[in-house]
Amino acid sequence: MASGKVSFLGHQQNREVAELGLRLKEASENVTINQMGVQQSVKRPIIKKVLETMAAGMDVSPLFGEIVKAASTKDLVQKKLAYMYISLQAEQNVDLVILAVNTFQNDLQNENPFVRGLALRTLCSMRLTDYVPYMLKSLSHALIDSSAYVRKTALISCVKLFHLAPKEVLDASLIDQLYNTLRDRDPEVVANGIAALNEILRSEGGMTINANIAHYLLQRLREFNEWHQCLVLNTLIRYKPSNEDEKFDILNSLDNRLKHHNSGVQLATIKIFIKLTEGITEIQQDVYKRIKEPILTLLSFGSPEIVYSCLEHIIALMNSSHQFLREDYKYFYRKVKEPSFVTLRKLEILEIIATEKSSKDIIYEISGYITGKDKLITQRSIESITKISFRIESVFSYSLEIFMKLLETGIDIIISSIITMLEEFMNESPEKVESSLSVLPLIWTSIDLNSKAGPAFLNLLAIIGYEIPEAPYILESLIEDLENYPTTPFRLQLLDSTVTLFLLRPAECCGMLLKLLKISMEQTETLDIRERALFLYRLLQNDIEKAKEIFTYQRYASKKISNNDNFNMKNKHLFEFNTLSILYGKPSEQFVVELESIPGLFSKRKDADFFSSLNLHNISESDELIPVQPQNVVKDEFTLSSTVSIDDKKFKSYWEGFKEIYEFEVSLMDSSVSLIQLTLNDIEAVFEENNIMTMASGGPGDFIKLFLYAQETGSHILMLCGIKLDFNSKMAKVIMKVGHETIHEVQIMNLTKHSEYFSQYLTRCIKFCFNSVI
Amino acid sequence: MFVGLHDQVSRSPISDVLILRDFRHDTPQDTPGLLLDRLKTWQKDHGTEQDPPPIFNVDGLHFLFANIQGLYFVCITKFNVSPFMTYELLGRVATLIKDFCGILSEESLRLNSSLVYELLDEIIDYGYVQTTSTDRLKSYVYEDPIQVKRENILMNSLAKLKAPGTSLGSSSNRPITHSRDEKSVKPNDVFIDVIERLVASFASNGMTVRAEIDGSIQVKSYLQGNPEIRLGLNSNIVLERDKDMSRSDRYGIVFDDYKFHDSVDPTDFEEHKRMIIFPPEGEVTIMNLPFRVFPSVMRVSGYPNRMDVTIRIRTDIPEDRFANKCTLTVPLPSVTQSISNENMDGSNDQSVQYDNRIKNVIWTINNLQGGTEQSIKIKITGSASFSTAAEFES
Repeated sequence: MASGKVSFLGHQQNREVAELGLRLKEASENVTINQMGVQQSVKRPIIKKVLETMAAGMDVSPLFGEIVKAASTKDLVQKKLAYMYISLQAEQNVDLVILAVNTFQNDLQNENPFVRGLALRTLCSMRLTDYVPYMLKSLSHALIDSSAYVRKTALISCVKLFHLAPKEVLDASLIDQLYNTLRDRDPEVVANGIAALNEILRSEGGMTINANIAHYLLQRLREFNEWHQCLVLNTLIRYKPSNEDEKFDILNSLDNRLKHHNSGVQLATIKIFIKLTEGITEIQQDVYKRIKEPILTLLSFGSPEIVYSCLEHIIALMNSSHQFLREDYKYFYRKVKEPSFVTLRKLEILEIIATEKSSKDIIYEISGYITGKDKLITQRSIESITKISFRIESVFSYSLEIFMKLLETGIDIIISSIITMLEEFMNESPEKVESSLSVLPLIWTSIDLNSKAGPAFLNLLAIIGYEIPEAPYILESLIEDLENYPTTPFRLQLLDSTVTLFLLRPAECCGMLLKLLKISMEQTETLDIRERALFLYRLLQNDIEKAKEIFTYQRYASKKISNNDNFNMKNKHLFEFNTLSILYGKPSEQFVVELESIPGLFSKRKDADFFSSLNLHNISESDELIPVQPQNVVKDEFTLSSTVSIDDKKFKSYWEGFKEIYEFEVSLMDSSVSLIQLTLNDIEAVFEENNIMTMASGGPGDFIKLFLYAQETGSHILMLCGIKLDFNSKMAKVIMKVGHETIHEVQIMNLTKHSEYFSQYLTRCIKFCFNSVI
Repeated sequence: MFVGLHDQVSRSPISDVLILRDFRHDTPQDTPGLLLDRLKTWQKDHGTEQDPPPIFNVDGLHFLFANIQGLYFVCITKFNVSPFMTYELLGRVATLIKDFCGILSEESLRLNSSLVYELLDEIIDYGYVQTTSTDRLKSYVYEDPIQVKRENILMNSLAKLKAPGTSLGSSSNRPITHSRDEKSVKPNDVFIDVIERLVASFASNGMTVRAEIDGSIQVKSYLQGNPEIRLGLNSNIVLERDKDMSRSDRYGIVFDDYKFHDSVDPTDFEEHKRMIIFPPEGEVTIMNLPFRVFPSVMRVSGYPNRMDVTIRIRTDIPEDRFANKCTLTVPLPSVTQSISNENMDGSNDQSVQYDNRIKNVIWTINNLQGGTEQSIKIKITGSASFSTAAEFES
């Protein structure tokens, strides 16, 4: 049935497209009549319809010829629409593009500069390598066009062309021409020139900025529009002034940019300020003072998204200057109708900037958020208060007071979150908390026991069990109702708490404890629970005094949260200021994907047609080689596990986490096999036989990249490697990383031995690959 | 630096891509789908009330988006761009679409899609912003706007109510370009909106936790030939940073900070509080100014489960002026069960409404005469004691 539907739809679509084609053809006559004076043509609405049909995902390529005809018109709107169609459809209709070339030719000579610009823009956005020479020729004319509009379009077109055919663009002495455009009298042309140079010369770090260029750009800065100012400022960040005076000149000349209405310009300026004053502490302090007002104004005005980015940047700034905005904590209070993502960031900042003096105000303010509608904010607010009061002792009792009041609200989510936090309060300062826990029997029915709050509640209950008469009955009712609380942490804590309470009040608890132990020992799904129950049972049976010792000791020593974690601020780098790095809280190399560097991007292709485009000659030679048995390769005191398996996420995190890095090259010159005839399948098979697993592999043709991993038998040492096999130079470049499964834990361990073994092992494997018979 | 703006999707709340422009062709085909999925999952988990954080990252593709009047404007890029510039750009694109199409709404986008595409192509080329100046764009963009019919403006304003933050001024919902066929004379109008947003929050003991006003002056000019405009403000404006409080200006209006649009020549501002504006056509926020006020009184007393709130509003505008449709929204604590209000100052043109679902009291005064004072007293009964701060917004 489903397939019938699809074919019906397909049919319908074909008919629709055909109809449009017919209408276009018929309309063409109307155009000639109307061309006399009226600009609006009949075709315009039809082309619009075509574009809409295309946007809906239908195949409109049969109309290519008709649309090309429609492109040569005086109606500029129609021309634009037609060009849009051409640029989007060119790739599917390569052989028809020749039809359009004539139109391009005419339009590139058109007297109207916008038509010239439009034609050039469209021409260069077709990704067709066949037309590169033609595009280059048109470009070189356009770069010296009399109209600034055409020149600036030409510059961006250079970039498009560069991605299409890098070699041709670099060869064509375009670079010099691009540098010349920096002297153009039109600021938009200059800006596009900078953009083009930055992108084309990216491998060299972008456009060269010497003192001349830098000062020239600074001088003209105000001529640029706001976006181009961002671009120029972000380019100028690379300039290193030669002396202090020059630095101050630049600082002074940029000062007014801090008041610019576009926050992009403001932040780009702030970045330059920070960069220039790096290492000069006193002046950097002044800079922080100077940028305070603009940043606070942004907080009150920007759209929620800008406020959000701004808050992240403030966190970064606070990281390097702890005094920053300390006094202005009220700016981080929640505003009416603020999106939750903004409030959550503000809470994070409030946690950081709370001081002895301001913390009480801040906690009071945050406590107002708790009763709101947003659950996330409720939880986060309770957490924030906890964090602040752990750091600043003077407000500890105050926070506790607030929490106690909030427990009376009877709102489940609030109670659950507070109970979780109270457990941490208990760890911090038991004597202050204990007295207030008598409310537990009143509120416990509101706690979501299957969340984190469940175990926390049980723990608290056990701790003050001797004071609360109802405690055993609460536990009893929970045990009766056990199937409703399946989570492991809850069950484990229930066992612990029941035992604790039993030791305090044996008479009341004996029955339920036995029942609980019985159920838990029968538990087969979760071994943890069963083992804990068995252990407790034996303990109680053998040595009740010992048990008492253990459980009184355990009272305050449960799951102590580490305080340091709370204030381990995000790893924010000021040198990546005003980029996405700050928003993600990690350096750009961790999220910007450069093609070729991330394993995940290489699809794991097992199909042999991968090399179908390659020339598969010389196969016969390989027959003469003597195969080396894989077994010979292995066998040292060093063996690899044959069962290791890690997923790509883990691989990535290990790849980034391992600090023991080795690089070496293996020459394959001596292998007489033509490397090209190897398929990925074969290579991977060889590695796999030797217990080296493939994570990902692939390559564009004249080289292959492989990402491999292996684990030593019986240990948690992992070895990862990336191999680049270059067929032309017959070299294998190897990057090897060795480390422990837990990454950070055992950095001290000596891994040199492993690295040595594995590198030898790997080298042999690689060589073996290229000597084996296919 | 790159402005790696790759495609721009604007999206209606019902998950439909309205406009999609792929500038660099370096993103996978199904990219907008990723975003829609993400938004849907978010809405499933967190409800439609709240937007997700305005940025996320899937396989090296960065999605930066802004919800502007119920439409999502999205930038998808592979580059490590400046977030500020990107968000500014999304906002600017929204304003430009509004300028060119008249209003910003789903229907208006659908009707004017080819105009919007034309506009986008001139604003951005291969991910690089070219220009956002209305003057320049007017000479590049040829398509005529199709105006959305009257009744849809209601839809538009509904969308606005939902949008967080200050909504854009609506000086005139008229596109800046006119149909070229029309022979009618362009009216020579300029609209100036002064938009102020006052936020005050009070503690349960009546103390002011915070009070601030954010304001902006927006100019929408249809003047022909773009003549310069001189705009004077009160002379008793003081900038707080100058800290010259000892002078007689003590009771003046105190600004924390302000910033001007590029079209404003502010050289005269410090001394004469005068701005010279060369407004480009279309809507422009020429000045942003936050300043503080000292609020009128509010008292709280009574039983733990009862709270009396008195709100007094005083207008300090000349007596021959009045403020139209003044609305005060009073969010109440979530434990509120019921309210009653009394002591209204007898005038008929005001009303108090209470919405129990969102716990909001909305106080509307149709005509608030300058120099007068209005007040209401609200008695609130809650299901538990009020221990938290209530916030008031005007």
